[in-house]
Amino acid sequence: MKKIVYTSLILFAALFFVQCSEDDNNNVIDPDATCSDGIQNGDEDGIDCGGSVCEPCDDEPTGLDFSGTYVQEDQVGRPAISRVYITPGLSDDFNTTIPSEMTSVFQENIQTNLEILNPDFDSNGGNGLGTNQDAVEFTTMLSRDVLWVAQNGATTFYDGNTILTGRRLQDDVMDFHLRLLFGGPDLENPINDGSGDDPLLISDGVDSNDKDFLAGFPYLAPPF
Amino acid sequence: MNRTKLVSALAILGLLIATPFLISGDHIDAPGVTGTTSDLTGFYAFEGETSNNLVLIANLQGFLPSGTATEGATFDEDVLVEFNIDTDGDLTEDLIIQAIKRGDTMYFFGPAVPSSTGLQSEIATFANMNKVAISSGVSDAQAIVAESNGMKFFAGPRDDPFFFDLERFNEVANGEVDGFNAVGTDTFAGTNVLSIAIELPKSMLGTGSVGTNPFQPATPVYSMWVETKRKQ
Repeated sequence: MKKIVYTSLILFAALFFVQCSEDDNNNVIDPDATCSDGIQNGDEDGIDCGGSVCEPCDDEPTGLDFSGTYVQEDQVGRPAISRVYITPGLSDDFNTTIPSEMTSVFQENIQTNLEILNPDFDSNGGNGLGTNQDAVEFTTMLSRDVLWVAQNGATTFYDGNTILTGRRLQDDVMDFHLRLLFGGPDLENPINDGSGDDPLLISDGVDSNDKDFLAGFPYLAPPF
Repeated sequence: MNRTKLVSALAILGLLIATPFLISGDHIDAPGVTGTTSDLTGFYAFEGETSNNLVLIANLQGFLPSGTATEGATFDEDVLVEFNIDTDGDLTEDLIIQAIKRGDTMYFFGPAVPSSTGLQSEIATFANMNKVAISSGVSDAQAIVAESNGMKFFAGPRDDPFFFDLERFNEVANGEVDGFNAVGTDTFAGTNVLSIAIELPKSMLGTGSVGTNPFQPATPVYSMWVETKRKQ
């Protein structure tokens, strides 16, 4: 524990020195500094800009290193494709395959997993998209793992009417996945809905987030 | 010490303490990224408050419990978060928006035509640059939002907007139970993620491609995905 404390202190000290400009007056913000006095004071990053009070500086920050090559480790388009449809041992490969090559590399694997999850997919009549996709058509679409986002009109994964035109925070994307996977050919009257002797497979019984979203930017709810 | 520096100091202390709790993520997708700072947990894209704008959100590092783990979770300065936008329907990015942390700040580049497509990227320093101070992870913290060049920016911990009974799904998938419960249990309830959010005018992305979405063939569509890329 002592070692951790010392390491933390050293790291903190390093941060402290990196972030303090030379005229920082021992890191005490000058109460008289304003964002219009024509000099760099307080904790401003430049003349009358940056820091905790003023507008950010417009110019390229000095001393920041944006050089180098960055190599891909993860990616996501539509929700949960990797988790639900890719064999676990292949998921790292899936995350580093460019979208234009995903169908040739992964469609077969996705179809295999679809048919493991629902062996009756084709015999039930496929899914409720378009003129009823069969397993090959559905998994070919899924294998192109990009999110379609409509330029105009509703943007939703599925809102009961519009299909795959975006993803809102409140969209129950997993129910839509389950409905396509288990619900059969009629999107609005799915099978496997828990009635009679049917198991409930087209909904997980969680219909909304546990915190209200904001009406405006950044729309996401504050942290717990 | 001002507030930003205090938060940074706490972040560094918190990271040392919190790392063991980051046990799973991408909504659990792949061993190579699970529990790492490049682990994406979700991507959202939707029309903003005004119909002229689109909102893009990438979430990372899932299952952060409230308190020290969330307050100490930090974006990685070696991990570039890249929003990819294919405007012509060929599954190759025509525009990118990049986000990367330096100090207490998230820097954004783009939208811009990338210098190269695919698995390797350089930061588009030739493009329009914007930035926002990274928000606090303290419970119910207010979001710090920057507005510049017609765009809005946010970076910091937020409630995980994803909801799903993952445990029951696993039991269904493994054949342990026949189906879901009528009232499920949200496995992601009460947990946070690190979020990056951008709102921008659609006009910055140009025109999408028609015929891409077979269920709305006449509507112009952007094909989008988000990537994390680590500095070599």
